[in-house]
Amino acid sequence: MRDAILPNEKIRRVSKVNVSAILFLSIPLLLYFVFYLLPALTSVVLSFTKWDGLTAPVFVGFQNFSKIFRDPRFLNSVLVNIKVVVISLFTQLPLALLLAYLLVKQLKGTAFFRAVLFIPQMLSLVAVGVLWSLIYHPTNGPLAKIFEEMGMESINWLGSTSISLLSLMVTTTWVYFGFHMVLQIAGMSSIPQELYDSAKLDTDNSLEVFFRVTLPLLRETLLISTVMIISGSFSHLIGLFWVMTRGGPMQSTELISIYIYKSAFSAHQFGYSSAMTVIMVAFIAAIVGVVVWQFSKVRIEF
Amino acid sequence: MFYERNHLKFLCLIFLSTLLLSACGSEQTEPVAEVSEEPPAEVTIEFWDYTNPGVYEPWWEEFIASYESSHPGVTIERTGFAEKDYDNKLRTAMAAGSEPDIMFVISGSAVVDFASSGKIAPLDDLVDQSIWVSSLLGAFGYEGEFYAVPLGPMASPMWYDEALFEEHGVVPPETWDDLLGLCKFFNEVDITPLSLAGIERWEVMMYYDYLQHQYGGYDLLDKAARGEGADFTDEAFVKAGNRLQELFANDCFPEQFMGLDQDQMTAAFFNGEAAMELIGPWVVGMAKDMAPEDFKIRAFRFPALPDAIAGTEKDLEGGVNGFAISASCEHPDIAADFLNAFGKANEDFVNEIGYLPTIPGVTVEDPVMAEVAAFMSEANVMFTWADRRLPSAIVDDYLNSLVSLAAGEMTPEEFGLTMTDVVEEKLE
Repeated sequence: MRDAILPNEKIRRVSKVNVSAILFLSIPLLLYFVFYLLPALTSVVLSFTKWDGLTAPVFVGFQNFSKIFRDPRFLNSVLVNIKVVVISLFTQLPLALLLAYLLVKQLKGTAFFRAVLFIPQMLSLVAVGVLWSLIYHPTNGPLAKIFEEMGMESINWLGSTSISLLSLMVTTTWVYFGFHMVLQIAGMSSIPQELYDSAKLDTDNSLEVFFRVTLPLLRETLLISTVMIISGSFSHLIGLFWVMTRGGPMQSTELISIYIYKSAFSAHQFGYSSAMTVIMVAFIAAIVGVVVWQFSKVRIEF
Repeated sequence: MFYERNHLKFLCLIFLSTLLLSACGSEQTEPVAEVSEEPPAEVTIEFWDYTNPGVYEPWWEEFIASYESSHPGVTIERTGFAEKDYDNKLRTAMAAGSEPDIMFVISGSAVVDFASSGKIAPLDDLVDQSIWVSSLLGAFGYEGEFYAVPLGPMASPMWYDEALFEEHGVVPPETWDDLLGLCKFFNEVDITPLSLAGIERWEVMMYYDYLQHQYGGYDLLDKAARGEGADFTDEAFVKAGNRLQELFANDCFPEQFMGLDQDQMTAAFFNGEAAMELIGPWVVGMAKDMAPEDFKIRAFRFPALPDAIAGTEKDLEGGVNGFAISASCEHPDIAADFLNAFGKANEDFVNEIGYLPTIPGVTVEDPVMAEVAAFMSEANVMFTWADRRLPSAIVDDYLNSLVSLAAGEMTPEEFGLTMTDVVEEKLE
């Protein structure tokens, strides 16, 4: 690269790059604006109205927001979502870490297992929902038949308020943990071998090595996984939960996103559901913000 | 070389732009008829309907083809939609102003919403009223006018497995006590008396519909839903709730119903796991397609409660499916003429497709459907299912509360209080 640039050349080069870049960026930016920003802004505007989709929207100020916080069904859905997030974090992350640890080495067969465990999250959530609904069928499903063979009473996996959420979480974990496993494998592979070698000088205990060397250095990939799990619990799971329980026996599996959907498309209350969406997004942003902040406080240097 | 690079970038940009613009342009727009002094030469009528399995689609193709050939210049563009997509597609189209000329509707609050917001046209002066049974036109009434013509009444009596009943030497129940006795009998022989599902929730609602009708009469539900002159704490609702819980207390339903959906409910009925089912008349068509060869389905009336309002025990529940004309249709006279022609073809439709008749004087060939048609003619009233009848803002809460009631998580009194609150909160 040349150190000295003649004044004319510099001006010419800069202006050329800018114009092309802007023109090329304009198309994706336009798409982004039309399909993401504009609907999001419309949603925020709608949250201050009452609208049934047929007649004109009516401005109601903050009425929707105040109603939401008094709505026992909304509060229930927040609780359900929090349960989902907590259970997800405490099942998917440990499982992903365990399997990543086992499969990080490039031995014979590990590639096969990695692929097989990764496949579930590539499937359509609706297909997964239908499949697992059949598995959970209380009389004709394979689980029910196994229980029958063993002489035990069949469990109503999706129809019982106490366990249907847990049944759905089993399915959710089955879908996603492979993805997080692959993420953690990527993270683990980037840890330099010298650190392990020097750790071996200090201790023989592989558990200690894991907790004091591997885990801290996986901070970034763990952060990514955590943020994805949190935001995914609010936005992605609606497909799965809807197909399997529609919000579940007596709202025991009704996520915020499911209540929003029902409020919009069966109750035709678009203003109210938009307000719920705004609150949900604010909620996710707050949680993720706190998580990122906590992760960034820890500095690891070796 | 400098020139070539720029040239390439420019071409890329043009290419991407045309891709983008062509994606925008592929939206289906409403065809506009030619405007001229003479009667329009080419008219296209857009027609949205449910798609149904079996011979439904071919029947429509044939009917439309014959209509078009006897009405040169008119094209009927029919699109069939899956049931679960239709509602949202229609409302989205209405919000965008691109609704079809003729649209499928179900009687109840949706028709009231569309009529009151001026999206569909009153048909009193457009179609030939004399073609149809007037009570079916009345199902689509709003403020003295009617807004759709019937496609088929979805009368929903109860259904029983005739072969199974014959095998066990029992007959369908006529009174409430008969029903409880029959449930006890079937439990003893390890057959679920009444098939049920809980996921969609309307399955439970259909039982409650009959119960609250027999105790409350025709108007009560509408009044309670509007909070005018009655509310859900009315004694009729409480009595109905008690009867519903009585069915559960007597083990009439499958224990695991909460985790089942409508297909699983009907499958259990078809394969002999359950003896009876309460569902709409589409089950007859489903039985022809899916039930085993020796399955014989027959209808019976919902049993009469001992303390019901006189006359209500002959009534049936069920919505009426119909077709409405959009208020923005450019050729409503042609759309109306098409609907008149469809009405006149009802006897053929009934016997080909297996729907119930909408015009007087039809001979129903299928014996099962003929029986249901006879029930209809003996009924004073056919009342729409609650989930179509109630304003959409409270339907979800109503269904949820019914399921809680069914599961014993709510008492009938609590049901009344909850629903009264819901009406206040959501329908001010």
